[in-house]
Amino acid sequence: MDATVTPLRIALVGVPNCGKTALFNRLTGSRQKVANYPGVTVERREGERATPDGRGMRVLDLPGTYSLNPTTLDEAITRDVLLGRLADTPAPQLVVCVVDSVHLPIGLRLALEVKRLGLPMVLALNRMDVARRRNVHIDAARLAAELGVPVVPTIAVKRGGADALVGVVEGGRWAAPGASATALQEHDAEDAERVQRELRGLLVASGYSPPRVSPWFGRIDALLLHPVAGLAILLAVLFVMFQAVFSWAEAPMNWIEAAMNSLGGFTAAHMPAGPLSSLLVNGVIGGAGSVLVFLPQIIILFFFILALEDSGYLPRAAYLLDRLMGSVGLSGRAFIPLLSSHACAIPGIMATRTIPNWRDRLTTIMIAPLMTCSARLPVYGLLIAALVPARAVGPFNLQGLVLFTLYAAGIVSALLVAFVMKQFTRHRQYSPLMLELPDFQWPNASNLLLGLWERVKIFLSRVGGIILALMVVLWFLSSYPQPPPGATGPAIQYSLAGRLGAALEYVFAPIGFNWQIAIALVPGLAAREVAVAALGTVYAMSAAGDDLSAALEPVIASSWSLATGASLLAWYVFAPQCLSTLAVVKRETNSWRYPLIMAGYLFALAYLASFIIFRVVRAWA
Amino acid sequence: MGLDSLVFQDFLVALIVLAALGFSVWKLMPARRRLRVLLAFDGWSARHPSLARWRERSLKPRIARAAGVGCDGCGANDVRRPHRPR
Amino acid sequence: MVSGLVESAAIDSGRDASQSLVTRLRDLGFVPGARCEVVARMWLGGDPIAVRIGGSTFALRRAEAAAVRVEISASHARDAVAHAGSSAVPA
Repeated sequence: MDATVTPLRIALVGVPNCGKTALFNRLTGSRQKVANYPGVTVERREGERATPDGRGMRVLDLPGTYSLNPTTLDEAITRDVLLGRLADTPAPQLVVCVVDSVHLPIGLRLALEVKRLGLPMVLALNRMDVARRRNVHIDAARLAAELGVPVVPTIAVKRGGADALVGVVEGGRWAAPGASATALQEHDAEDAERVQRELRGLLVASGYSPPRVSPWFGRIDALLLHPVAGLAILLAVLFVMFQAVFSWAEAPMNWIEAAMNSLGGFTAAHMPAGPLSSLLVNGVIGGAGSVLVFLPQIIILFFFILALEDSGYLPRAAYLLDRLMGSVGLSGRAFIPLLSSHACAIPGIMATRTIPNWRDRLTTIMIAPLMTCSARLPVYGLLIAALVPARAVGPFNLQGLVLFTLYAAGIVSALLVAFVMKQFTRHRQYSPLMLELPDFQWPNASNLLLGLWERVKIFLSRVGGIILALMVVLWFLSSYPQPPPGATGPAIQYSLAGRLGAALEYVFAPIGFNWQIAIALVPGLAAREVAVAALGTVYAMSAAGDDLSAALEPVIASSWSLATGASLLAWYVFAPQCLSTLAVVKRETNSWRYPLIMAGYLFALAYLASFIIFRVVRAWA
Repeated sequence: MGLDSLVFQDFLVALIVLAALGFSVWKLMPARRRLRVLLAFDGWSARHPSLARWRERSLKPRIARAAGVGCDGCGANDVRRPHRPR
Repeated sequence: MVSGLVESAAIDSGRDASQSLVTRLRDLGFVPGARCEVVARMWLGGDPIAVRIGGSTFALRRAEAAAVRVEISASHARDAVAHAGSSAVPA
């Protein structure tokens, strides 16, 4: 086939935090595809862009790397793609080196390494607007002349910010810089010297000077990174987050709950009694509706997580906690995957790919599910609201305090497990930190809103999808077989689910779970918040008479003992009630062994913790 | 025959429950098996062109993405517009 | 805060700093003649430290920083941030 007809293959290369992904988004818009590189679990992000000449371009966003001498799997992939070593991924026809203008030296050094490969290259000077504000002036024309490749300024975060780049690429005014693609030799001291000399020459020629450090940011950083003040601030930030999750969410949650109640009442009143009415009121509204109530809390939680992520604060938190993590044998780089796990363990586990050492990575993967993920929030929220009085303890809210304690319990237990795992490794290989602390930036409002909207959509599609479906099935299993005539007690006890619950109750009685909880945990294996929906359905069907629209919380508050509630909370801190997580662990570790070990140890810990908590609370209360 | 009819209600309920069951099983299946199931239906859908188009355009790529990225159960891996472009 | 010029980034025998670590440090900009500045230090003598070099800021553990020899600039005569071979190496 004629070479000019196939789309142009472009690859984006750059150091982390240079705005490469923003540029990728700018170039490809929503026409992106995320898959995997064959054989490894590194994300492969590819997108397309139409061009006026009809040829089109295919853009590959390569993982950020500091050098073509890789230290992690991510970086090795970037090198391999550029060298054309990956079978499925042909070497790009054009490499766009994305360089953060503010931090020109480190990006330009990588560009020099790429240039030596002999591939056609274009340099994108990104964030030129920020550079100007920070007093960094770069003579792009001079740089292009010295470097021998086209140099194009881009502002990835602005509309039209990539137009110049697209123009240069489409215009075809780029060509191989001369040398044929050479095999990449290992860095030796002489080689590095030469690159450094060339780099210095280029920096001088382009007129680059280090950015003016804003005194304000300097002072803020000094405070945030201060060993005592910094940690105190970190703790305070987390605290505020958890308090807000309860106090800010209260009003909207009540509103949603009232809406669900009235919807249930309306349905029950306007439909003839029968299986359909029961399905809708108990299964759908009682079930899925119970989870829907927690949407405000999820939004608030993610608001904080996304804001912290976008601002650049997270690596600083990793810096503060590195000593602590090192003492239990964790790599400092484990912090960000573990923090991501607070949203959902799955992207957190995938983020462990940036940890070079296999043992470290495995440890981090094994403890990631102990981080309190957002799916636990409906469970915690329900139990805390039902069983913990909304009292004030000094300036704090007791409910917020309990939530904070649960989060802390997850983290502490993770550290303990990591410590135990450390005892089983014979040789302690040194794992580096070398983490970049990116410049601060105000969280971009539109990014934030976009991210929140994504989260809302995900939550709603989960509720309207798998949770709804499972609740319908659960409703069915809880309704049939129907009770024999003349039977006493709620109908559910005679159903399939009821009998299963009664059987499971033997297993769970020692830790204080009643049969309703026992049943709810079964579909709850699909995802954590399903248990809330399941409890909603089960209790709705256990309700006597026409009390069909009773909300879940008051029912639990009146019928459960504090010990049972505390025990269930303890269970949820540990139990791997999420098949998806186990599936991802299998993928990332390429074996069944580790997910099975994970499930085993987590269930064991859950049972033990529940057992202890149940006995202790019962004796004390 | 209206909603008053218990038979009709039973019928509707059975339909809904079966649909929910099928959907749950589908969603809880690992992505690769889902892909295999889809491919198994290739011959059948050849006779229904409109269905085939929907399969190719949206269903298959979505599952392929899920197979690559992790598991469809969470949906958090649906990275189409990363909210952190630094 | 302490600032100075990087004198060299080299392996010191007797430590377990690998060549790859040194190479990576160089790639990050710790090359002879580069100006660096320590902007923050954690307790216990600084593990990790935050170092500003070439316009970027990096968090380095003691063992990594110890591979970098720095010549303190005259105007900031404080205790040295890192010397190849002198600081205690964490386990």
